[in-house]
Amino acid sequence: MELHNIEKVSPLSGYTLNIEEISGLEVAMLQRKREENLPGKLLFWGKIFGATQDYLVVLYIDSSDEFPVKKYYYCTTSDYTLRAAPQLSAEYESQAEGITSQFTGDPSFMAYNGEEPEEPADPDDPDAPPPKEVFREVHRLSFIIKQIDHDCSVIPRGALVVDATKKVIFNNYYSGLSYHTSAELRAYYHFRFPENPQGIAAMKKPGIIKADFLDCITKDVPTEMWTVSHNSSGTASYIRNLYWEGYNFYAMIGTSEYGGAYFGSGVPNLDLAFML
Amino acid sequence: MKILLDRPGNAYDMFELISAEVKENPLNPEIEANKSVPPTAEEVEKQLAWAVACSKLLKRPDEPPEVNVKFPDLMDDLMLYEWAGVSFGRSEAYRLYLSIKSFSETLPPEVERLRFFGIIKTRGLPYYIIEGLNPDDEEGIDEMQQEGRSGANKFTYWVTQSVETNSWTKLPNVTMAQIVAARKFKKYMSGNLDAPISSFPPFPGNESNYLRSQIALICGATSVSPAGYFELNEDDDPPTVKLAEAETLNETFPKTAQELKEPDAWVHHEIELNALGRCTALPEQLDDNGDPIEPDEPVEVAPPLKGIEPEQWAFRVSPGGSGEHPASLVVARSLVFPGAMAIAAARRFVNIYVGYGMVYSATTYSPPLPGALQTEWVPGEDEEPLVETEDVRTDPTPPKEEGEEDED
Repeated sequence: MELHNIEKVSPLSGYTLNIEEISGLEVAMLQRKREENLPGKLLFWGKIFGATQDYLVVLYIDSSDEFPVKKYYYCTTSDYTLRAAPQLSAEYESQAEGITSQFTGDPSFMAYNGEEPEEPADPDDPDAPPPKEVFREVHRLSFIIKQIDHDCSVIPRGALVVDATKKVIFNNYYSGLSYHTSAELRAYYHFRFPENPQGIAAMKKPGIIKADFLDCITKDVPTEMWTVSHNSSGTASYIRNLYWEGYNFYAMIGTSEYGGAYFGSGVPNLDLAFML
Repeated sequence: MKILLDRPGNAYDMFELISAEVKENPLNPEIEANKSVPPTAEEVEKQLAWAVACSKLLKRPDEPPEVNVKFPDLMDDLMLYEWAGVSFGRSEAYRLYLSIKSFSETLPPEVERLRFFGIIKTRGLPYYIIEGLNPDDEEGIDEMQQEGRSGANKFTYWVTQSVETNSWTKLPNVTMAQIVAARKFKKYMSGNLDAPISSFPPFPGNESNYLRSQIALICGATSVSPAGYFELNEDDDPPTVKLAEAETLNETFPKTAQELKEPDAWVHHEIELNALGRCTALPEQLDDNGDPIEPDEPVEVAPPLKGIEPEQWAFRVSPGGSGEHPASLVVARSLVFPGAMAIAAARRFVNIYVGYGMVYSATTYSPPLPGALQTEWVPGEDEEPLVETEDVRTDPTPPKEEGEEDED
C-alpha cells in the first residue's frame, strides 16, 4: 500500500510503523527510485519482525510487461538503505522452505544448522578470503517475501483489467466495490499471474476482460483462512489471512482506494487446521 | 465525451476501456463510467447507526461526572504504543478512550483503576479488553478449583467488540481447570462470546471462559515493568506487590534507555500461573484427624517480582540508531506470546497486547492422543476369580386357568 496510507489498516491489524521507520522509508524509497530510474510504483509491502531488528520491505511494480512485474527491496530498521531482495536458486529455495525458526534480524546470519556464526572478516587484512556464498538470512527473507506475496497479495475485483492489446493493466476507471460486494470474499482476487486454467483461457479472449481472469481467493484451500469484515462505520472492508498471520488488506467502499500490508514474524501458521 | 471532460494522459488507450464501459450500458450511454451506485438501505442504516452512536460518545455531558474509578489516559499511552509500532487508528483510538471513560463512570469505586489490556483478534470482530481490580468476591467458590481475589481472579476484565455502542461485557472469573485446559490446545476464537469451544481435550466453558483464560495466561506471563516500580509489601504474608513509595520512585527513575535495554532491568509485577493454574499455593487440606495432607507432587508457586527470562524477550530502543537519546523508549517484545509488549520511557511504562491470544511454540501442534483404554479387571494373586451367580430359573408356564384360555 502507499506509505502514507499505513494508518488505514491499523484498526484491523493493530500495527503501524513508527515515525522513525516512516521517515527512513520515505527517504530510502525516493533514493532507490531515482538511483535506479524506476518508472513504476514503489509501495510499502510489509514489516517482518526479527529478534534484534526488523525488516521493512518495499514493493516495486513495473507495468511495462504483459503482467505487472514485482520486485522487492528490503531494509532493516537500523540502516534505511533499500537493497534488492536476491534471486534464489532452486537449492536455496528448498533450504529456505525447511526453516521454521524466527528471523534473527541479521541479514548475513547463516548458522541455521547449529553451526558457529562466522567471524567477521577483518577489513584491513588483505589476505582475508572474501565471504563465501552461503545460504543466509537474506535469502530466507527473499523466499518468505515471495511466498507471502504469492499467497496473500489481494486486489479487488475490477482493479486489474486486460486491455485490447492483451496487456494486464491497472484500471484507471476502477470505481471501487459496493457495500454488498465488499462483504463477500468472491470479490477479491490474488494479485499474481493467474494459475487457474479458466483464467488463463479467459485472458486470451478478444476484447477487454474486466474480471474473472485472476485467481479468486475463495479458491484457496482452506477458504476459512480468509476473513472479511467491515469496519465499524461501514465505510471500508477488511480482509485478513490466518495462515500468514499479519497480512491485512483494506478497501474503501465506493472509492478506488485499497491496499494491503504484512506485519508479522514471517513464519506461517502451520497449526491452522487445528485452530479453525 | 468522457475523454473530452477528463483529458486523461493516454487517451488512446483509455478510449478502448471507456468504449467497453459504454457498450455495457447500451440503454444509457451518457452514464459516466464510474458514477457511484446509490447506497443500499442496509449500508445507510449501518453507517447512520454508527454515526449516531459515536456522536453520543462525543457529546459533552451536562454535568461533570463523578470520578470513582481512574480511567487510563489513552491519548498519552498512544504515543508510547506508536513508538512500538502498535496503533488502532488515531480517531478510532480516541473513540475508544471516550468509551472507556464513560464506562468507568458506571463502575463501583472498588475497581480503582482501569487499564487498557489490548485487543485479541478473532475470526470475526476483535475484542477490546480493559482490566480493573475485581470489585466483588464470588460467593461460595471452592478454593481447590478457583482462586479468589488474592490469586488469579485479582483482576476482572470487560470486553467490547464495537467501541461506539459503549456496552462493555464483564468476563466471568477463571477457574484452575480452565487454565490447565486452555494450555493444551490452540483455537481461533469466533468473535461471539457465547460460542462453544470444540477442542480436544474438551474445554470446560464457552468462548467467554476461553477468552478469560487466555487473558489470564497472557497477563501472568507478560506483565513486566522496569525494576523498582513495584516493591514487595512485607507486611502481608505472603508478601504482595505494591507500587513503590514516591521517594523511592524519584530516586530510581527516570532510567535511561541504556539501562532499560538490559533484561535485568525488568521484573514481572504479576505472578505467572503455575502448572496447576494458580498463582497462590493450594490451601492446606486436612484429613480426618486434622493433620495436613501433603500433596504427592507439590507444584511451586512463582515468587512475586521475579526477574524476566532474557530469552523470552526482545528489546528495541525507539527512536534508535542516530536518533537515540537517554530518554528514548525501550520496547520489550515477548517471544512467548507474540504481540505482548511492554514499553518503558523515563518514568512511565505500559503493557499492551495485540494478537490472537496464542502462545508461540517452535514445534507444530499435534493433538494429544486419546487416553489409554481401561483394561479388564483381573483378580489379584490370592483372590478368587469372580464367579457369575447362577441364573434363577422359573417355570414360565402359566398356572392352569379355569375358564377361558388366553390365546397369545
